[in-house]
Amino acid sequence: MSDYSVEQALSLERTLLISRDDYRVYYPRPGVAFDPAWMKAEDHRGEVKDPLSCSETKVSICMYPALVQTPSRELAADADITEALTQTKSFLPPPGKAASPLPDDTVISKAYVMVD
Amino acid sequence: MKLSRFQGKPCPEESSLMRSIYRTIWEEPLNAYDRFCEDLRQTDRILQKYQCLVSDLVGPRDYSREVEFPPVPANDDIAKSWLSSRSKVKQATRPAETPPSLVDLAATGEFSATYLASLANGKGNSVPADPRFWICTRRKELDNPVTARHLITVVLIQELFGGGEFYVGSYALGIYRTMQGTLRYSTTSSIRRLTVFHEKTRSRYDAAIEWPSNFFPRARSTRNRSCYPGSRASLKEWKRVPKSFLIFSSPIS
Repeated sequence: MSDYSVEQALSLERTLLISRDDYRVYYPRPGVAFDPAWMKAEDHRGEVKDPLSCSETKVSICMYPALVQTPSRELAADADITEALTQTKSFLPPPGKAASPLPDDTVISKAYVMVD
Repeated sequence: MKLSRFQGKPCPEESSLMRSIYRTIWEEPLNAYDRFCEDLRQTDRILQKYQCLVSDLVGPRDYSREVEFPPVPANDDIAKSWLSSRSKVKQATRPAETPPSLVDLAATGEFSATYLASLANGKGNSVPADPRFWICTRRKELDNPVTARHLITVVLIQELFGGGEFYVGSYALGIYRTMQGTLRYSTTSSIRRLTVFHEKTRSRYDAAIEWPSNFFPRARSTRNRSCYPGSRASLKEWKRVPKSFLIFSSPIS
């Protein structure tokens, strides 16, 4: 891991943090059905498998999560200023919300999973 | 094709793109035109970035200009950076010769999912759990390259995106280097080295935070450093950004 790569990762974090759009990181939970719309299956060597061969399978483990762009929420008219701060920006889906991307979301990068 | 003429030579990224275009046509003639157009669009984006960079460095400054929000990043650029981190995680572990059992995979995956869910639950009102202690409880999984790769990813994502704060971002460097240095061989004794190394890294980064006494007074008095950089290096970088960008995650109408 070179310094450049670390800087690149941190740069990505900051880019997404101050972007007007919201982004979510989705980890497919073990046991959920494989969904080629936002997942890619790979074997233990890291080689991507044909999605058609994984249509009836379930996720064993997530090797790398999906990054999804979601429409940014509009602030209410009486919103407090703190609601617009970066500290309130969340990349992990809030609890109780959908565990997979919604139809309006744009999948930037699919999750890499191993299937059973 | 328009190329920047820096000392009479194309910049390295442009050379790489030209090679990419050559490979596109030579190796995959099918749909070559569409792929060629996409490469050209990518070239334009890179040239635009260079022009903005040069303009920021040596161009005239208009201090009366209204501050604008940063442009929306291109999705393919984000995807490229996102997957770049993944490739580094793969390089940090040795190749898996045999797959782990499905039971072990499911157990590790469920453990991480529970951990991430609790992290999301506590977000915003509590300090994120220290991944050192969390990952050190999974010694068995760290001996297997597949599960180790999964755990490294969870830690990395937590460090980068779990807290939403630049404060924890500086730890990503430490934990990432630690992972690379110790998990390449995936031995149990690496856990101890991981802990010691991370302690050193953490203290070094804590020492690197030098806040001017009256620069960001709130940042010293509270934990809400989300709008401020967390290390000397990032502070240097963020000084180039208009301060109005630093605190707002979305435009205020």
